[in-house]
Amino acid sequence: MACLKICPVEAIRVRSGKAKMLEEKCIDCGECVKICKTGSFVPLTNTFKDFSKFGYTIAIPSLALYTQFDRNIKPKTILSSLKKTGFNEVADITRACISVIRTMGRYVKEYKGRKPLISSFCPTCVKIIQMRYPELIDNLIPIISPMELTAKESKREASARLEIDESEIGVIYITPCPSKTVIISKKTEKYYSAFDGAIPVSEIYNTLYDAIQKTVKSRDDDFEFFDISGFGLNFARLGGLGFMMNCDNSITVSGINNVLYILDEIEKGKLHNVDFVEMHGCTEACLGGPMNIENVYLARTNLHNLINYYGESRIPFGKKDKYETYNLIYENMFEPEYKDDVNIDIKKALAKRSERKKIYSELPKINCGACGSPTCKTFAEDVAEGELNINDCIIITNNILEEKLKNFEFGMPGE
Amino acid sequence: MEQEILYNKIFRIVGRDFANAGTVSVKIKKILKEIGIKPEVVYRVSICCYEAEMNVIMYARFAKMDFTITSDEVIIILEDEGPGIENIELAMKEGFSTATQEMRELGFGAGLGLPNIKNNSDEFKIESELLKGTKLYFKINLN
Repeated sequence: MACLKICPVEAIRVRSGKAKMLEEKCIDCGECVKICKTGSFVPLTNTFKDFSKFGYTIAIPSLALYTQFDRNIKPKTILSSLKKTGFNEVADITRACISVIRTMGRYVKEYKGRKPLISSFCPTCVKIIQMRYPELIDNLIPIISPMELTAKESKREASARLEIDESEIGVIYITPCPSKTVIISKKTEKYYSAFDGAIPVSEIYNTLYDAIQKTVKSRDDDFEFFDISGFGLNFARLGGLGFMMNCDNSITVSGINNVLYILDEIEKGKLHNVDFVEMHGCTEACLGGPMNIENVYLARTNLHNLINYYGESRIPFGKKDKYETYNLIYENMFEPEYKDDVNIDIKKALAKRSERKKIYSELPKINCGACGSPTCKTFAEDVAEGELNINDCIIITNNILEEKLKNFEFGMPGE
Repeated sequence: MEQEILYNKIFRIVGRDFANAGTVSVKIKKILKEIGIKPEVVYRVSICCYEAEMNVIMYARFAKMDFTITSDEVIIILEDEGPGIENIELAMKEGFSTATQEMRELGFGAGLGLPNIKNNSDEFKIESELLKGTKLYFKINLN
């Protein structure tokens, strides 16, 4: 039942002992996945089997994967071990991070519209804005994410090098995030993901761990070369985007409830003087993703150590930007997302609203959740919809019983 | 023909009250959302209300916002006590603003307020008397 209370958008109901999700309210944040102990909520992901249809596979790990192991294990080792677990190729995204950040920095500087701009890399935050704050859609930076950029490019490169069709190449994301999988599986006309699937970090962890141990022993990763940028690693850090763009007038917010709070503030116009807001649904950004293994605080330390290890505090000088000539900005990338209701009868709707209010006024307002709805407000909605009965509230039923007990006369019948 | 008023509420807005800026438009948005009005319409109403509210907060002393829902439109009448607008035609021009440096620092005063309301509403009227106040009337169709 922990999920009932944790859901930030009140999308979960418990009916006859089973948790049920209202899909039209869900924002794919993964909070329920994080807290679920009974296995009722499982993220939508792929397994290795799903990719057997591809002739050639490329794995692209999230930066969070680098932080999941012992501090002495460097990204190079992780990447080459990942390759050994059964992929034809692995690709690192840090170079793409820098390209994306460069373009983003320019975009923020040249932007003339209503401030603040909002980062669009967290799919959950994007979905919240699409569903609940459609007026803030223009504030989202319509930029392609580094993982997508890397996926697109590695696919193109591999297809040219091997002279095979792009459809035969499977690009797989190693993800800490359940929301990303939803994005990958969704294809809209204007914009679709270059990935063919995603495997959670937790799913691959054991296999990868073994492979890493073997690699460390044999030291055969010494011959491999991965073009990793230490500066690009800042992308995964909380507050890293503002830092990388050198944007001092920016704020960073993480954790879904904080995000909702800040969006309310933006809506009220309180943050008009801030240039840029970095938003993450999970605390500590992607390091806090529900499908990570290592705890988020240790992962954060690992990431800091890695950044220090590479020792790059700014965009590496003299290195050619690999994706310099690419167009990374997609106009109208995000569109409002809500179910298109047919024209409603306002009179009936208003009547329903007052009915809800009336029911709500009778409730104890302690939000105990015993009825299976997360709050008294949602309970009132459910009663008004006819899904529940007002007597499903245990406090109300208790009061009725007590009333009856008071009037009950003790004594033998017929006396 | 007069339409039947299904819902009516009057909000008060106090000038220079930056701490509570935007609360009225958020309240209106919430009511519309609760009724289940199309998000697209809610979006337009809340933009209009927000701009109108900010105008009051920045320039006027006090205002009364009359918010009405009928069976097929949302009507908002905003009457304020304030300095009034000297040249309405100029105020309707995009980019024209009389905002002070202080307001600009807060991120307002881009000169898009009134034009934005006009663009997002289906009917728009403005009357103003210098040194007395401004009356704003706008209507948004629900369907």
